[in-house]
Amino acid sequence: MKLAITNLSHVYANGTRALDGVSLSIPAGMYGLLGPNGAGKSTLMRTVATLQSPTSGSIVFEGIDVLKSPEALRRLLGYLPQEFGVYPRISAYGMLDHMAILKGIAHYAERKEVVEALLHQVNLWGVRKKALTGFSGGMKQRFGIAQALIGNPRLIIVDEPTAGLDPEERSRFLNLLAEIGDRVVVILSTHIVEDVADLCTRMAVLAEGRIVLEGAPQELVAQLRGRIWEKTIDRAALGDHVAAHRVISTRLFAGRTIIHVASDAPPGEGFVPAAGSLQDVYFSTLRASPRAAA
Amino acid sequence: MFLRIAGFEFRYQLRNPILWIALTVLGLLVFYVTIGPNSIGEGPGVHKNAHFKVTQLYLMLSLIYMFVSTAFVANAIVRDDETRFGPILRTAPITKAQYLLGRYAGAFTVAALGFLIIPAALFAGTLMPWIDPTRFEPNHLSAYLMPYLCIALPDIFVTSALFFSLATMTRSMLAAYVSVVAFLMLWVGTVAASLNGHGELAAYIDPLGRAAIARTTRYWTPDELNTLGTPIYGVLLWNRIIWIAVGAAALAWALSRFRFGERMPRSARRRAKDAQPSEAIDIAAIRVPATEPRFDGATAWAQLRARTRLEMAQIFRSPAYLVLLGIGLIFTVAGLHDLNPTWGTPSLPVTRLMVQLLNDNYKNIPLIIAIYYSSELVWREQDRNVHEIVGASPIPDWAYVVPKVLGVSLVLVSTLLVSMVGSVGIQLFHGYTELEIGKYLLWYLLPNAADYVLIAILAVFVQAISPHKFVGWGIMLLYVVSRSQLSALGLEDHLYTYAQGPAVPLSDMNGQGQFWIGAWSFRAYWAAFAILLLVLSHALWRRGAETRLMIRLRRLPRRLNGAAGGIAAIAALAFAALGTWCLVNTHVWNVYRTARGDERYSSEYEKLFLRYEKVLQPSVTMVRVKAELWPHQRKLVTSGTLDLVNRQSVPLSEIHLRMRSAETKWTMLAVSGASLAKDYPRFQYRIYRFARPLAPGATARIAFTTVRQQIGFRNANNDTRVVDNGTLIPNMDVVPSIGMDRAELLQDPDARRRNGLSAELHPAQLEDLTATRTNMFNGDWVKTDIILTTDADQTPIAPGAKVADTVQGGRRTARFVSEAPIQNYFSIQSAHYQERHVRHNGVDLAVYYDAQHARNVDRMLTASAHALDTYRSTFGPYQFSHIRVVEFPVYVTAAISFAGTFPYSEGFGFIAELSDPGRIDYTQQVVAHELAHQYWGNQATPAAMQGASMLGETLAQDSAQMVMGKYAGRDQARRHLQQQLDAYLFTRGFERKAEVPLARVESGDNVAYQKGPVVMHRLRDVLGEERVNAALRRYLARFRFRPAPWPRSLDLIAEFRKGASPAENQLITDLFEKITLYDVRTKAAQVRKLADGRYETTLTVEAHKYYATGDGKEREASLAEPVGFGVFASMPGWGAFDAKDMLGRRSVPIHSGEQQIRFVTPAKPAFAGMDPYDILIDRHPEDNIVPTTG
Repeated sequence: MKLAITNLSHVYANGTRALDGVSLSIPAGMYGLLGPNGAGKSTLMRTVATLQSPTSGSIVFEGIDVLKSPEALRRLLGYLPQEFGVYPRISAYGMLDHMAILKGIAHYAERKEVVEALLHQVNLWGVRKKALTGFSGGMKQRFGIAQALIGNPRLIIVDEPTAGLDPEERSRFLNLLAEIGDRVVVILSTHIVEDVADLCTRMAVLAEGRIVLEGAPQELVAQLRGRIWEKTIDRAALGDHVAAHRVISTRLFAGRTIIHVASDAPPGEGFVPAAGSLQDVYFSTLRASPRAAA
Repeated sequence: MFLRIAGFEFRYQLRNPILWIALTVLGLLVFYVTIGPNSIGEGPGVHKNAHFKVTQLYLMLSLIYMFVSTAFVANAIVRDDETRFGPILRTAPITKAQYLLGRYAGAFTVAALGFLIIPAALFAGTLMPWIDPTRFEPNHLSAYLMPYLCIALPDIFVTSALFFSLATMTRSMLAAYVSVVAFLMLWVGTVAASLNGHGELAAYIDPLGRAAIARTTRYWTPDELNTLGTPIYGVLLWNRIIWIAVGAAALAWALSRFRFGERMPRSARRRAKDAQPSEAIDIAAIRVPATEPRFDGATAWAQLRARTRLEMAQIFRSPAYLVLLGIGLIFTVAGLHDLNPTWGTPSLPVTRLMVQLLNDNYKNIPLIIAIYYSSELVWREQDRNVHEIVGASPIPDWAYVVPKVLGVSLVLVSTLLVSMVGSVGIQLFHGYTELEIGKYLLWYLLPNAADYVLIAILAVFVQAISPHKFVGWGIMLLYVVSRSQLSALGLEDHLYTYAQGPAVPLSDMNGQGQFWIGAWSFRAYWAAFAILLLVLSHALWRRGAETRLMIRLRRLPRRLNGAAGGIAAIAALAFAALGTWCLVNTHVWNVYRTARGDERYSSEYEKLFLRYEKVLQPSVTMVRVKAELWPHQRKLVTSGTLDLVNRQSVPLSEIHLRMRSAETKWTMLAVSGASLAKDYPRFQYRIYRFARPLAPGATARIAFTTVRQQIGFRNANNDTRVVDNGTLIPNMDVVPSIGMDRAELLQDPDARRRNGLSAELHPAQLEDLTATRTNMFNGDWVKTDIILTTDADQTPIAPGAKVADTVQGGRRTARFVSEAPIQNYFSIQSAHYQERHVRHNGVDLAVYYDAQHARNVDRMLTASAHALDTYRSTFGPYQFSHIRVVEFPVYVTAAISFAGTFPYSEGFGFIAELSDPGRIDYTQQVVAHELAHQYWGNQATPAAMQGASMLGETLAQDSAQMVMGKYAGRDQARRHLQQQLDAYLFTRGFERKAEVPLARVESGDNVAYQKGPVVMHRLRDVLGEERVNAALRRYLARFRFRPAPWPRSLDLIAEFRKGASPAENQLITDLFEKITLYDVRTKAAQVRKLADGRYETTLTVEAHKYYATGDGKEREASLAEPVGFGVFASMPGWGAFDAKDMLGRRSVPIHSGEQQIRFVTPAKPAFAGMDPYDILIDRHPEDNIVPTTG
């Protein structure tokens, strides 16, 4: 079971090159797609989800040429878009039931079982009769997750799934994904590094429409071991440090700034070795990408 | 601060693209109309830049403009909530009034200034060098400005204030728009409907002032319409004051109710509480069953059903739809409730009438729904942002597209059903319980549903390929406009006019006849095309995030592979096959005609043959006709002979023969002793030359056979004369006519100009004595012998005494022989009839009617008896042994007087609702009118020239009035006369042709029909009944059954003048030979109790008399005539008014100007007035009677 993306490029009508020669080979399991806003993640997700035709390239999943037979892929697909709306005047149950029919579960009793289980699973059972339009962001997101899981999908694409979820919901959701994740291909597109770090067996970083990094998170973190240094400085000193070092990330802590610097050798006074995290991998990759640095 | 907010709003709205788009469209529209032949609003002949016409333009466009102005003013308030900028703004240090009124003022100013595009475009149009100068006058600033200030500006203020307030209260753009639509429809339904009655109440309650203008200008003449300014006085002034106050009140209301506080968004108010349990549940414990999806037929079916259910629920549960339905229902009721009244008397709500009224009144709502909901359905997923979720699901595109079409179709059906329910409700409300649901379904629901679904499919397709919803709407708007404009370009072929087909005229007698075949053939043809559109929509569907048309086009061939392509191929084949079928019917078996083509034909006819009009022709003396009718085949074969004699004083060398109806072909034609000299086969006009000129008194004979048959169906103008059940065909349509005349030539001035003819076609002038050689039927006294054969289940009818009636081999043959000379003018009728006969004073009174229409048959028989007795005793003998009233289908709404035989349309009379005795019984009036024509027309036949209709129609109206006065009571007769006067005064302003005095009347128009009886009534009032009747008898005696010279109107007027005093002679001149109008007014009526206990009433009155020119220019004439006065205990003609309430009445000579008249009565009068019964042609009949004072 494998999703093969080869040389995928997409140029929008206004000339924006959203994808630029993207090639990925995604095996079964959770696959994290990291990238800053505007990197082309959603374009890639939509293209794989058959919603958009690329300018060039190919996508093959389990022998299905996705661009030639999108209908065949859709039968295996569970998709949670980054943003979605709902029909007015329809309840969570009604809409999920409707989606189940669309996904090919026509038999009433079977559908009832699936829909009810999913509603329990995403913890919407208590509000199943309420109109979706009245749902909060988190509730809506949970609904989106539920519909993506209908019908035993072989390929699950979730685009920024944890946006709007509170920590508890987020962990529930990640657990849910993890449970399914080892049997099917799950692509998790996000800009939140923790999501990938917690879940994914493999990942890629997308920036400016290109894959700039690909691998297993642990290996990638391991590669950084001993190369990340941390220093706590005054905010005023940030400019000097940025000029002097390869600063990959900064964050505030108790009013002072903690910077991470990538360097093969100790960068100087005040720096202490930091335990490399996926966060550091991500940011160092982005800083290394010349175009993304701007 | 107020000004700054207003200024900001003003500048903000100026940047609104909708403003500029709307103004451009309006400007182009006005410019186009200005330079073109048409105009907007009432008064087609009025100068396009005159006050009245500019007012009409503003009025009509302010209806459309409501949407534009509402867009501004509602946006001014709603956008703060939509953009969620409100909280920021409302926490700024401004007051509620500054904020609200500032916003309104800014938006209103933009709307008010924007409207100026209309006068600007009009003005620009008047400067174009190629415009028709007769349609314009020199530009006056006031003609542009006054209507703007008095009409447009207050209208914009009132409507924008109303909708601004609504938007303020609801904070919803949709609510504002829905109320605009509701307002518009209510306005159309109530105000516009009441315009026909020019009701006084409507003049006040119409917020736009249109009813007030209509009321004020209702009797204006063309000259006044062209020259008078905006009538900003009286009712219009009050209307403006009332509604400006209402607008201000609406603003004040909004201001008082408006709260600065944040209003919770709707969604938040209903937000579901998250039902998160306190302890986390164990997800692992919940097993989602690993149900494998299946993709088989059952799934596809379930998906189709689920999608359809969803689409329908989305529409049916939306509040906008319910509002629309409610409006539709109101609209139906408003359009249908008055039941097509004739002289104030409604018709029975028979299903056929209801369907016709529905079709007339309920066109726009389904059209709007078809176009609007199609776009909503197509764009719903994008609009709701569900397109990605749904698009990525494994539902096939067709299960996506088909439910949308099903959804909109069911919505359309439901809207039609609602109108049907409304219509049935009206039937029940009127106590009519013969509900014919089957007819509703076949005549209304099915055809309309099919047509609207076709339009919806087109709209779906257009939206599927349009980059934006608004682009799709624009394209559909173009389509809708083009539907009405194509025929002006001569493009009428239904083979290329999408979703259109030949009309299906309905009839109670004949049902849908065979007309439905053509209509449904074209419907099937376009349905096949619609399926192609659907397949294309499916294949080009905007699924997911892909919106680019090019990409979708590139995918098209691949997506047409398989079932979709198969369906497309079958549809294409069906389209081609049905197209061929329609083509053969409309172009091969029948002649394809267009309105413009028919105009051209008539103009060529006139150019070729009018010059033969004065060629002397022999007269027909005997007509022998054998007509074979096959009603189900719509076929009539007529053969026979016409015996001729030369009644002229010179030998005749030529005879001109023509077949007037292009639908009838002559298959044999021969004239004894003559040979064909010239043949115009396209026009079926032949000139035969006698071998030896026909000497005076010599005879000849024409033998002919003609065939009229419609095979299949036509593109339009299917034959409504020879039909399945209810054939009525006049002799000119099947028997050759002799000599050229002016009947059937082009009349419409625009059409004549287009075809290079003089703008007006007049009959011969009154002074042209050569015209007395021809009568209005272009015939002579003949005897007839008509044998008519039809199917055995039908009754054959033709003029003449029935001398034989046999049935043989499923065919029924009857023979009719004339008992007295008749004009060569007769009809053939055949239908499945019931008969009712009454023998009355030696005459067989009969009504031949359809079984459904027995209701008023006895009234018709009574009317025949009453009229017969009246005319016999007043004018002389009646020439036939029978009076037959014969029903025919409503393809024409009229009654016609042939010799002793009156075809009477099922569309009125037969279905008049006369249970209320207070209503005008026009059923009887019409019978009396037609019977009177047996004297005025069929005994004394007028010459074909000016004044002919006075000798025909006016006298028939007058005679019928006499019968009505005698049997239905003076009160009803008087009310009917008042209606006639009102109709005359109302229509004279809008006639395209210059008005002529009654003696010169040129056609059967308002002068002959409506002014005529009023004139005769005055004449009878002044000369006395007996003198007028004696004059009529003398006239009749002089011309009864006499050959040429035929009588002129002056011959009758001469009889009136015999023994007349100079004053009476002057009156006769005023009545018949001039256009005379009066303006009499009672200013006050003062009552004083006298010493002897009686009451003296002093009336102060003012009187004027005017002579008017043809276009309505008036000049005052000196008035010195006796006029009637009356004093009354209650208002005459109202409610419980009774004859005994008339306390005193007398005729008093009066003069021009103000004067006082005294009455002494035993009882105290409550009302008094001058000319209380409207005997004078008074332009202000409403101010004749006043309540007394003192």
